[in-house]
Amino acid sequence: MKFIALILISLVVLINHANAKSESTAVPLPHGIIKQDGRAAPPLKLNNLDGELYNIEDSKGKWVFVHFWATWCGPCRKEIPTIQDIVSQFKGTNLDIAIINTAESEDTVFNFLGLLAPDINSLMDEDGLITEKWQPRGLPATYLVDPQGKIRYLALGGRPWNKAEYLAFLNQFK
Amino acid sequence: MKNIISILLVLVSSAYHFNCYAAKDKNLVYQDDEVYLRFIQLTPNQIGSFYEGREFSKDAVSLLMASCYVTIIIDNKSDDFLWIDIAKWKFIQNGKNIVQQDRKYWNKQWDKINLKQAHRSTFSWTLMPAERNLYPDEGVGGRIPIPMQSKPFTVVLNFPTGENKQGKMKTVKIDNVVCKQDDQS
Repeated sequence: MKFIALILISLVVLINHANAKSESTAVPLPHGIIKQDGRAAPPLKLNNLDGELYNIEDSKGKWVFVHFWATWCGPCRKEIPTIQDIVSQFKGTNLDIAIINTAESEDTVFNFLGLLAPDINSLMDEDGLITEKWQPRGLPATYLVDPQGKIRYLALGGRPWNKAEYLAFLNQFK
Repeated sequence: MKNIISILLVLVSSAYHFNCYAAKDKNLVYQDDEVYLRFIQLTPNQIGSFYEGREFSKDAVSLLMASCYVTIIIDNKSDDFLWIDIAKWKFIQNGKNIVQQDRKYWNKQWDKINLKQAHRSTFSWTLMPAERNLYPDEGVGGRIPIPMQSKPFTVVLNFPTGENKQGKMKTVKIDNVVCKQDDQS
């Protein structure tokens, strides 16, 4: 009986710990990161520049860094190299990174990334309709979606993701 | 007394100079404790090149070049929410209101020329958001299209404040804004 009680208590502790990890964090929020109410993330199913399909549904159980951008947007140009840095750092971890170009042609995106962030393989929202469903405040826009598919954080404008305070924030999700 | 008058004269002439400068300067800047504003004036050819570079059709580029774009970068420098609500922004010339060419206006133009969805989306993202809040320290930028103007005009920007717009209205008035033209020489 004592043994069963011990197992039950351990399970409760573990579940609480897992929930706490998925919903909040002890790491202070970096400048420009806003906590969200946990609304369901809109659909996100797009091909990348190589024609490979990504569906955010396949990332259930992981955190997802969802980033919208365009080549004509000044802050996006500044931010995209910092995102390239985190793409390599978080590869194969519990934090998936989905980078979505809004309504531009493959040639435009390919040429732009070739110059500024050649390791990024952007998803292509060719008609811009997926971006509209996410209702970003503007471009660039970044969301953090939790393992249950809920939007938990929003970044205001472009952020220097490769800086220590932002890396510490992202590290808790990997 | 003479000194005070001199100082006042300098202040008045500085203010006058500021207003005159606005009509000529490419990047007019306004700043106080609550808001930073930068006006970017683009000529029709610069606007045309921007959208042509995004592969917009010739018809679309022609339509775009016929309008004037008041492009503004806004940073919320206050500790409170600042609201963008462009229906509350006024463009005035000789006491008359210049009507903004809003998203509804442009959708009608795009329907006429069957502009493809990707380009409607890009155009829309280059416009100033119609209504949204700005967190402290947050910035936003975008264009407000109006019919082309040959004379300077006044822009009155009214920003509701507070989380639910319950705060006092913040108003900035900028005189002598122009639709910059291409050099004909």
